[in-house]
Amino acid sequence: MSLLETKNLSAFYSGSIALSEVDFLVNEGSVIALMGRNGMGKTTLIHCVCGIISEKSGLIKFNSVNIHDLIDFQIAKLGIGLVPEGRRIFSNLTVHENLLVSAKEGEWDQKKIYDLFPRLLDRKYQLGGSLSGGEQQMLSIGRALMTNPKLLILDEATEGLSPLIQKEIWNVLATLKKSGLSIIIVDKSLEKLSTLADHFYFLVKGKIAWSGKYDQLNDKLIKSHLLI
Amino acid sequence: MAEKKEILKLSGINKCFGNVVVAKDISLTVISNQLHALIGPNGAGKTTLIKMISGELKPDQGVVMLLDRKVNHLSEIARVHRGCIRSFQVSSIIGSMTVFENILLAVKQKRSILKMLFRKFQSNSSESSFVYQTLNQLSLETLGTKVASTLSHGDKRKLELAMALAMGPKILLLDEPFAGLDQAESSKLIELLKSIKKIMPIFLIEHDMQAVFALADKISVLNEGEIIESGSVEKIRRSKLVQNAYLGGDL
Repeated sequence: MSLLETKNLSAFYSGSIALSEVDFLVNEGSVIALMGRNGMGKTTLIHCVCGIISEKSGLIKFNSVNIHDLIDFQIAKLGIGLVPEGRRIFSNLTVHENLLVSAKEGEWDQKKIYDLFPRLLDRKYQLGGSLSGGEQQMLSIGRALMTNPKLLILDEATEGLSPLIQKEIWNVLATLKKSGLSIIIVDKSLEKLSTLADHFYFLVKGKIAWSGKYDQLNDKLIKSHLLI
Repeated sequence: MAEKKEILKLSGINKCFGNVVVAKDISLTVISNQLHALIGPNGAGKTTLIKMISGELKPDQGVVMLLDRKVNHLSEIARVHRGCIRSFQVSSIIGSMTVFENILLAVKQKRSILKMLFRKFQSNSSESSFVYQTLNQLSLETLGTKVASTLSHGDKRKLELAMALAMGPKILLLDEPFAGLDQAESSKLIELLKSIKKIMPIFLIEHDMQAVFALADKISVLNEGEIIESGSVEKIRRSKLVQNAYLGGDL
């Protein structure tokens, strides 16, 4: 069953087209990989879905509700949790406070977040700004999960993280998938996404250039859409 | 074969922030025409170390030598004048200026701030030709008149490198230059750094292991403020200690 659907979604920055007639679908419980070179529209698509960009046209439906005209916090309340590029944690709040600010009743609570990321428990009363990049990403994921989302979106899930921390994040994402959570992941690692994602979308110059399953991919498609 | 010269030498560097030890007895050497990579987990103390080399932070103990001279007492600016040039983890370009102007600003850094403030910001012919030369070197020649904020992420990284090169470095300190680049941009930057390291030493902090393994002549691994391993790419790949602390067994 469809959880998120966009039809003919276009987005603009001061009148210039950044996203063009994008049809995008996330079914309940599925993991979607959104890939493409820098500047191709991945973050723009995510920001449209999250209500961060208002200059847009087309349909965006989430959980059977038309969310096109809603703004970011209204969309978050409906159940879309965003882990933004660059983490954007509240650096002057402690780990504990960062998790509290987004808390909404549901399956996910602080205890569950600390079980998922035991490192965060060790840093519970430390300021967000004093955490390492890896810990900040864990906190950003934890903060999004505290909203008890139906759909979790990660923009550059492992960007700037050391290999060991990247591995930890991928393991956590696999756990979240098993729990039935729907996830959209933007990341550069096709290899890691190959074992996790049910469906792939490749964006080129603001348009969906290809979509399908990993086993339908070939070297030519990868080269033309991701490498050149 | 050209003589190998010690360009940067750190001996017994120690640094604490309160009770937290961020550098513990760090010693390492970067020699001419070498790319020395520093890798390690997030929060290991890599950026702190680069700050102590560039002069933004002072070590509590230990010696920083640049071209055989102790520079502990020198300010950041004085170290820049001695050729210790750093690029930043977060972009340091001026978005409202053109590519040409950003590089010109870097060329002019050797002037005093007062002269910069009270003279019109324009280039003389030798400065212009140097800027054009730098633009060519980094294949940015078609972008000279573009406003920097409109560049792609990869081109912004190239511009930062161009600005560093325009400052006449004796050594380049690069802090995660591959961050945020896509695969195509990364491949281009690897080729560019391969050509730059032939003419000057580079001290590189990076998590992109494909880039590190393709470029490094020597790798040091920092974990909790301490160098736990140092050596060739092969040695680092095989090290159990590094696997456990950083690589995680996948590479």
